[in-house]
Amino acid sequence: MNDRNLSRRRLLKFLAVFFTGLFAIRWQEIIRIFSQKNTRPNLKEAKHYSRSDDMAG
Amino acid sequence: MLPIVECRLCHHRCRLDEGERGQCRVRINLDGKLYSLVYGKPCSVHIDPIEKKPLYHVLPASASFSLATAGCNLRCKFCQNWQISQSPPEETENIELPPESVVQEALRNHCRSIAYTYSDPVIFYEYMLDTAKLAKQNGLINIFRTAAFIEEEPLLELCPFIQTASVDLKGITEEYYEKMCAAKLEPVLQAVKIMHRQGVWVELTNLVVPTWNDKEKDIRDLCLWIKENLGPDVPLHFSRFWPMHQLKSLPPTPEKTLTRAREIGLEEGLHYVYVGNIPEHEGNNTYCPKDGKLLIRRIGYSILENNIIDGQCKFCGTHIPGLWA
Ligand code: SF4
Ligand SMILES: [Zn+2]
Repeated sequence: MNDRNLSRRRLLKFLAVFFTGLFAIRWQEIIRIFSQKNTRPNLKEAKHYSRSDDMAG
Repeated sequence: MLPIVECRLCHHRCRLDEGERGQCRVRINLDGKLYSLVYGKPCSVHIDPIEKKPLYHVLPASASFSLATAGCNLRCKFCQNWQISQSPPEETENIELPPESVVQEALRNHCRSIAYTYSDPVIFYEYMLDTAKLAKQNGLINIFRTAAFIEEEPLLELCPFIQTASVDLKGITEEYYEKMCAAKLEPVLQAVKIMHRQGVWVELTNLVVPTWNDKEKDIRDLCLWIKENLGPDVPLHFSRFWPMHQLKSLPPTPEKTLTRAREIGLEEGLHYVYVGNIPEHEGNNTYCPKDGKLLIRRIGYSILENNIIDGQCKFCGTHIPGLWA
């Protein structure tokens, strides 16, 4: 019985490592997008702010 | 004289002179207008298991398209992503990924959700909001992974488009928030309540940091606040601290501290209390609050067994709250 529990645990562990590995492989795909690295910021007008010339007083 | 602008996105309410940036490093006053510097410019893009967020009651075993830009409005001493969160966008390696491309890539990679995560998505609010609108139209779930240090007005604008929020409730005292994160507790509690009231599915994570927020009283107070303000069905994840950033001299959280934290949560009547970052701990699993049967068995980010059928315990039919399909 104990032996059986042990091998079941081993199988579960193997499956866990296997599926975690699968995820690791899948995100390799995304590396493709990283071919266009750049550090120049984009400017987009923000929401939710106020200006001193709009404020009362 | 060019006008000063006041950012009303988060509770820092930065008042910015011409050319000045907010504390988050990614919002700037130019010619009297406030601009975001990171719209469509993430520096981290990955496909993660949704369990990593951590979300244990949302689409188990599904993939989540996860992204972040540089910057953050908090200054947590334990930050695990400090290389991006504490940098301006000029110092990270960014890619062009407008909202349409995020949604396309998520669908192409068979992701069921998009997670705005890693740093704090509050600071790339406009990018998140536009992406979330498009994602929702395309049948994707939006995940707001945040410290919830956000003003009420922008949060209410966001809520209709996000279905789930994974919120770091970092501690339960103002002192902790001030000293550890350079932020405030009360606005975070308000934001969590607002999301819950607006029907966003919320799961909370508390990182237990040795000597900082690991006292029984702190943990009990946190659990009580959750039960009284959100009810017993909101999942709480106690997460293990790992020495990082400005807290490298502390030890990792002992397993027994996390086990005890989970016991306290259950004692206080919370139904779903989890332990994170310790593989094979029983606190990784979901149990039925009625009959105590094992519902979801997890090891790491993998699901080994799932006994929830149509949102119900397979054994006794108890409704298990969450987004299961
Ligand atoms: S979002 Fe940034 S600029 Fe706006 S108030 Fe917060 S820290 Fe300041
Ligand atoms: Zn049951």
